[in-house]
Amino acid sequence: MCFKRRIEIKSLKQTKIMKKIIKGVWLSPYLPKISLKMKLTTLFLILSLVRIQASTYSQNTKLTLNVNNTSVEQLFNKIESVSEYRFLFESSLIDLDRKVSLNVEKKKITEILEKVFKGTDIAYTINDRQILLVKKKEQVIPIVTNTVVKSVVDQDVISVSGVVKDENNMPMPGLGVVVKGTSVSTSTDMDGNFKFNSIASNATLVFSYIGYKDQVVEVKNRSVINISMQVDVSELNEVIVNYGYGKVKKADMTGATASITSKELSKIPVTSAAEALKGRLPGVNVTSADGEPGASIRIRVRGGTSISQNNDPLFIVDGFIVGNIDNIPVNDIASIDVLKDAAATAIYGAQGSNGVIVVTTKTPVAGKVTVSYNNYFQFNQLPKDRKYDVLDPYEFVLANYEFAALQGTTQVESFEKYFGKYDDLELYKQKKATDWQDKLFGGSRLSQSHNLSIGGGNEMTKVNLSLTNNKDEGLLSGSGLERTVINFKMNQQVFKNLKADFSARITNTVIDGAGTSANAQLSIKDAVQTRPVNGIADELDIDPSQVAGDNDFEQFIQSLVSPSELVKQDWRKRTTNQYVFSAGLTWSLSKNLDAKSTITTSRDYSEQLRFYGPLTGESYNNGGSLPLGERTIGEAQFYRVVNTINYRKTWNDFKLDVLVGQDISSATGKSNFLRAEDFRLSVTPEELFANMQFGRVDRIDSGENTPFNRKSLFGRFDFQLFDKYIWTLTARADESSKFRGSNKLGIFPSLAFAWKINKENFMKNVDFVDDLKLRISYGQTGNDGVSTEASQFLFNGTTLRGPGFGNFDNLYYTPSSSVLYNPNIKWESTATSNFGLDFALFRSRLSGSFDYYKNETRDLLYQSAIPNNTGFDKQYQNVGSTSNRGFELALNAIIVDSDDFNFSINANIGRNDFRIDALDGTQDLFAKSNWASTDLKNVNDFYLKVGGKVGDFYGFETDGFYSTADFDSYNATTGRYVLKSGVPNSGALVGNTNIRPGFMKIKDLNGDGIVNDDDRKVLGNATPDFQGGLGFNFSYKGFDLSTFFDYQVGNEVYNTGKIQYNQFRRITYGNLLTTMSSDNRFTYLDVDGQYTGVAGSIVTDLDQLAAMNEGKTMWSHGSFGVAQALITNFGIEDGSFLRLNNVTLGYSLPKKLISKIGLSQFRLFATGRNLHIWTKYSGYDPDVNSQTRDPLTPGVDYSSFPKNRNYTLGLNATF
Amino acid sequence: MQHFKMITKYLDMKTNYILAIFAFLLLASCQKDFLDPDSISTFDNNYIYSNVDDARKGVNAIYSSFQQDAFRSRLSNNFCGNTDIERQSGWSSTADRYQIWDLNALDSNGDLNVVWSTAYRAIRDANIAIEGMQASGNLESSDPSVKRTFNQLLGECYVMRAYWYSMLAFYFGDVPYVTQAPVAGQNFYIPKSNRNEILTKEIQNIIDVEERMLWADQIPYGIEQINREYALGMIARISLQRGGYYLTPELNMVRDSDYLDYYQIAKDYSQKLMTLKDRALPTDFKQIFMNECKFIAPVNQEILWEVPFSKGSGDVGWNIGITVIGGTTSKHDYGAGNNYMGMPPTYYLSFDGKDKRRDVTCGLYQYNADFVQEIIPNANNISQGKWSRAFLTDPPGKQSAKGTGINWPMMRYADVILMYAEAENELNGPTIDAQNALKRVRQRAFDPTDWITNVDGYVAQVSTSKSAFFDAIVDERAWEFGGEMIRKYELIRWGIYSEKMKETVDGLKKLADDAFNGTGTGPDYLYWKLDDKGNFIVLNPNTKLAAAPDATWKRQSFLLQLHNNTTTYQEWITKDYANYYLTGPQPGVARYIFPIPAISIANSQGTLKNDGYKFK
Repeated sequence: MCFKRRIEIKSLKQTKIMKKIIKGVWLSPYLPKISLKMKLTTLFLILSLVRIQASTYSQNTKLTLNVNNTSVEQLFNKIESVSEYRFLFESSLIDLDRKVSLNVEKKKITEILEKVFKGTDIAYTINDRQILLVKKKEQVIPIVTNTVVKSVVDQDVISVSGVVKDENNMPMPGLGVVVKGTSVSTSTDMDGNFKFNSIASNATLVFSYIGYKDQVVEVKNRSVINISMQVDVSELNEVIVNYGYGKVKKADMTGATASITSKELSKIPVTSAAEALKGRLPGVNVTSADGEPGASIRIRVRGGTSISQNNDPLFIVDGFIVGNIDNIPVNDIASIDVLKDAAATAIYGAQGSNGVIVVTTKTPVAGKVTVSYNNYFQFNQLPKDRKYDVLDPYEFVLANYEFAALQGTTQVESFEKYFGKYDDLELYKQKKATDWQDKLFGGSRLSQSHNLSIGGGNEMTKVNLSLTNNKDEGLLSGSGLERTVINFKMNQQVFKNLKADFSARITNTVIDGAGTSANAQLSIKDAVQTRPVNGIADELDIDPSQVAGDNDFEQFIQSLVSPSELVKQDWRKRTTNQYVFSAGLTWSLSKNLDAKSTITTSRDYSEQLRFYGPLTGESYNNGGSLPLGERTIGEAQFYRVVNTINYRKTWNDFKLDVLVGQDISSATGKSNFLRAEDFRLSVTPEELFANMQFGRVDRIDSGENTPFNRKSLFGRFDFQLFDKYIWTLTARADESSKFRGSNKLGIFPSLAFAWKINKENFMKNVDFVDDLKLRISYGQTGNDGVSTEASQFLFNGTTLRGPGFGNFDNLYYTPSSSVLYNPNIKWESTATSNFGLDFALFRSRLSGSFDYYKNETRDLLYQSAIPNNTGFDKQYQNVGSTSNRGFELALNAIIVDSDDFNFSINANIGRNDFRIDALDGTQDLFAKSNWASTDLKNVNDFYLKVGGKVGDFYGFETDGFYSTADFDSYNATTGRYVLKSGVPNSGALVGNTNIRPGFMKIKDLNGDGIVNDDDRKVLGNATPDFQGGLGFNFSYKGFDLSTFFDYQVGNEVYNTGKIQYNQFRRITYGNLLTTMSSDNRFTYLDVDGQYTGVAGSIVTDLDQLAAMNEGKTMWSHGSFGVAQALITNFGIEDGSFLRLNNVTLGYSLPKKLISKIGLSQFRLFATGRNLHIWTKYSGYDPDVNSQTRDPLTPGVDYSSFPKNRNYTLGLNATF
Repeated sequence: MQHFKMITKYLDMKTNYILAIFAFLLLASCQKDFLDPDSISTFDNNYIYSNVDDARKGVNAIYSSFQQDAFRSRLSNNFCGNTDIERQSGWSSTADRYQIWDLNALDSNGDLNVVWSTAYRAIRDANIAIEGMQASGNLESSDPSVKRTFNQLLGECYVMRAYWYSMLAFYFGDVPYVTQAPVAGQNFYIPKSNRNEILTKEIQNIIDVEERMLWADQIPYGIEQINREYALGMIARISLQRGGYYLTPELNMVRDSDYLDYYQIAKDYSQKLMTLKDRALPTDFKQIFMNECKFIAPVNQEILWEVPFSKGSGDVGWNIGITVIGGTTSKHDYGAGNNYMGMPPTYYLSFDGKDKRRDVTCGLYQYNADFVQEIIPNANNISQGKWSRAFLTDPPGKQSAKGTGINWPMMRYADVILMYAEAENELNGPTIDAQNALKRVRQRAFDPTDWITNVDGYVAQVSTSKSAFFDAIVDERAWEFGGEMIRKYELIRWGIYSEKMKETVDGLKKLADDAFNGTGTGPDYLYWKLDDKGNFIVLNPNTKLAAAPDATWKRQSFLLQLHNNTTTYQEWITKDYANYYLTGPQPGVARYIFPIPAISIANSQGTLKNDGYKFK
């Protein structure tokens, strides 16, 4: 029947804009209008034939046609075959069989159509590639159902009509026209025509359309009013912010936000969205624990507010709260919005206190099916210039010999057993060193990523499916990450007023390797300090298990284990399958009222396999030195139901947006643990876990988590006056199952105000300002980030180290948490004030925003240290208060904007001070990083003071080393040196009371003649003065080049490696850094016998020592006890850096060329990441934070996995 | 108006639906426990002490502290040296355990920290269990079997708590006395209490509960479970600690004036056990410990309570016991083990040649990689011969090391008998009762043919005075309990720690001089071989022998090893014990008290200090 029914969909301009706001709520009024015009089936049919493209098809395209006496239909077909034009019409309107003849050469389509339809009743309009045909005298039918005629009796009533055209003189359909001061409105038809049948002759009409400036026209008794709309430059660049249960134009936002879109994200080839944020957004600090694949990435919005466990911002992916965004493929992300102040986050109440990160994944777009494919291949390596330099074999044996000789003959004998007599040590000059850093992570690793996405559909049903696979090889042998994500999204218009959304995300993640931190058996110490040669063992074949009868058997065995063997035996594989499903219904009850209900569920199934080979400490200590395996199977469940009602109404001078809602969520899970031991020595990890029955079951544990439930009610009231003043009032009440009784309830209000200054009359003449908005907000949020059992005293059953009645481990009940419960804990609350300014200048060539903020957190939920004579180390308490204050500035400048060449700069800078405002009654408090446990003298290495900043490193100040002049004499009988009177002895601090010249000397800061714990001071602070990023983007024709730097200035890093690797703490026959070479350090060794007559003996004479050590800069490595570490200013380093984070060069093939093979985009790119770092820091990387668990101990570099440098090649293709 | 009506109509129609949905969701979320969820994997104290089975598991928590390294390697072994009968060198390293052996531990010492925190964890678990049981009402249950079990469990709690306080007093002196389960709002900042006040209360607690406890033969796990015998023995043992000497912060060894009251208690309660539950001492001394290595735990015999280690747990046979050289290339499947604590030759030679306990106690041999016995290479490393992984019934594997599962004796019946003898002597002098008790223990050590000389003759000889009898008790306990690592506590409470250490050094020096000068009578060389059954035998265990009678005997330097050509004596002789009597902060006093761990001081917010004892 319908041979060829076609209908126009959108105009050129609209297509562009529609795409832009497609996810906006503003879209909905237009959609039904189109559907009214046709039957559903027709629409499906048509859409399958219609191509909608974002790019323009020039109207200047010229055609050559030569037809004689053909039907109109055949002519259409002909035109469609030689061009991209497509005809849209109702077939009943047009006489398709009419015969025409046409002979044109290189004529524009308008001229051709003019000829064809001359003298008919058909009118045409051209919108990009679409040619819409309609009857000339067709009656304009107001599409909007609620157009009503206002009866105004006391005024003249006239009929007004007209055409609305855009800046290119093209008609604009679907444009809203409102009679100012009334509820009378209509919208334009396909030809841009509008008509009011009876309105007051003195009425004022307001024409508005997204992306265009409003036109306000007085009727003044005219019956025809033609309007030309002007593009609103500032609005075209408009960003839509996802701000919690809704979206808003950034221009209308009262809160402080920062956003990044897919356009920028696509230039950062990384596996994780979190990592992509690094340095990009002001006030958002992204640090990774270290460079290990799958390492936890810490995101802090404005420094984090709490000193309790959890300072992570709230992560929301497509409206669903998730634990992290590591699993979201970067290619699937449309935008990431970071909500920073209470105005923006208060709607999330409890969870919003640390900021909210809203990730929106790409939404399907109606139109032809698009297929895009993105990939990259990445080569990773350890930056050679960041390696630690260690002693060569000869220097190594010399240092160890000297160390042994200082201790006594027993130690020398032992040394000789492994490395030979002193006189033979010269031989080590010939020996080749094993470079353990190279062996362990020196190789070049390959990572790759593939992303395929298919999207399309029609106005009723839109579907997007993407498949992503990432495979990263870690620098450490055997470590790696593979992640596969399937992301499916569907939007379905069920009825006119009912929309359904469905999404599913299925993720499979496999992480290999046990890393170097947490409970790993290997640490960076093994790579740096493992001896470069094995001494005599290199020549002989020593079986470590054969050597017995030695008290330090344990240490000896470990000292012979090669780190590269150890890493193979220290095996871990973590697999997680995550299923996230979300379904939502949006019901447009009326033009102004929407009700929305969303249910989201997620299930995580995880399996962690941990294998300990016979060389590992775990097997040695607890596994009878045989391979053993632990398998943990976990399941996490989560559901969340959100119901909201949203009422929006626009009057002439004011706009109202009211949202009320209810939110219920519940998280729980369970786990199953199995440990089996006594496998045969040759078993491989894979074999073991495939056949756990071959071992002996050592322990089984299973448990269900205590659910974490929360119930909330919230409301938001947005009021906008004269499009200049905006108020947002938010309130949320949360009830959390983590607290008891009335403490469950927390109420969090906020109030915000924004003033669009540029809309004021006095700004009208200030041409260079496109946008200027002032924002002020104050609000409260809360935090319940404690464990689900923190307020109850509960017990679990376990057999771990249970009594061995009857020779097996018996069950016992033990407290469910190692932190003592506290039934009185309550919500931690944060009050945030924010002052912000958004601006766009010079036709938006320069835009940006500035924010100053202060937030105060009270009743901190903190694991307070309590005396361990309670049987616990810590207890949850609401203690003290902290505050963050700082500023953020983000700038974006478009320097050159021409057809061929573009150049833009973006920069951001931020400063955040995290201060302690009150403590639990005390004026100061210590915190400890625990990197060296109790080996660290005094354990406490962080100092917190009321009014001080968080992150003060606390310790001693070195005074170099004791010179020979500090001593009176040497007593050969007792073997002790006698210090001059008045020279304080710091021997006890370094764990070696038998003090010698050349030992590390600690300043007696308080001058009491004794060096002890009272001589400590703040050595530095982990907080940077400011940090941020700087990017340059160029594009020239098909080429694009972007570079990105990130930086941090003014912070110190607590480099535990510098302490550890310059002494022999808990390592036998270990190596040292070259800072400890015999040229640098104080030595006692009479290398050639010139002082004592016996080569290799220890010089004790003060004068001789002075002569030997002239010009030496370092203390002796023998200063320290073998189980002693000391924090001094030596280990505190300037952590400022400037990193060339990213350089990307891309080339997109010309569209003309690729369109022939059906491609709409084909881009090749090469990226280098972490290319260079300018820093004085001596460790692997100054951007480090190892002790992530305690917010009070930032800036520690302990056994951090080095960050890699990588080179990427990739392509993006769209079909 | 029309417009408005339309909306209203819409709303009328749809609000009903919406309200219905909301109502449903609210109902769904308002399930009674939505905001008070719990997990079926967690339990509260009311539940745990509501029934016998779970209460058992609650009390088991206290036992789990014995499975921690803090006890396995530390308290049961490394912490207990050095004494006149057990030694290790503490001066050769500054690592944690060396600091302990050298009596020079810093407050940063990790071993001290782990012992301190494990002790208080055990005390916490005991307090939780005691409060749980007291609140449950089951101690007075009308069901006699429930009541019986609960009271027995309560006794276990008090006995174990007393054990840990006894240890804390020995290692740290005055400590915080915690007797309540931790509750929010409670004052956790508890200052030190006088150690004797703590012990007094802990003794009384066991006395109060002891009669409601059950004998080993009445309970499911026998001597692996704390029982009434052990409770009675612990009353006596802790009373002797309470009535004994201790080190004051001013570094004086003193005892409280009421000390005799506690000797009386020790006498009464050791006697009570000997009256109510007397048993013959098993005649085979070796078998007592062999049972442990064979996983046999007989009731009503020698051992009153032993720490139950499961297979895969426990360090006996790993760092306690006869050396076994193992590993992948060894020709046996027993794995490797040796001894941290060695026995000095002075102790070995102090035994009477006929004392059967010597060769059980002093391991002069080891197992080589072929599982063949051979003599130990070092005279200073005679092992705790009572145990060995080589005695295990099932070899644990070539590569095996720790976790042998061999139980560790906490008190033997012979100890109770000797405590009785000691207390009686202190109160009334060497009475017949005291003498008879001593005789009972000695009779097992000698063949009946030797009793006339070595038992009756010997006891008569040492019973001439209270002090002679006391000295005999000191000696007897050394011979009886060598390697069981309780000597240190006795030397402390007798107030003779430093004196005994000097005596040991002098003794060793004399042995070295005599051997070097050829003037001694002891075995400068030992001559050994394996008998027909492959068992290690020594020809001249305590005598000097110039040459072997035939070539089957191999010669090994023994006492001659004590001499060093450059320093006269081996370094270990002069250095191992130096801090105990000579170079410590107070010469003549062994500063056996250690500083409270730094972390505990820091977290006490000033309540605790490491004052006194001349700590650095």
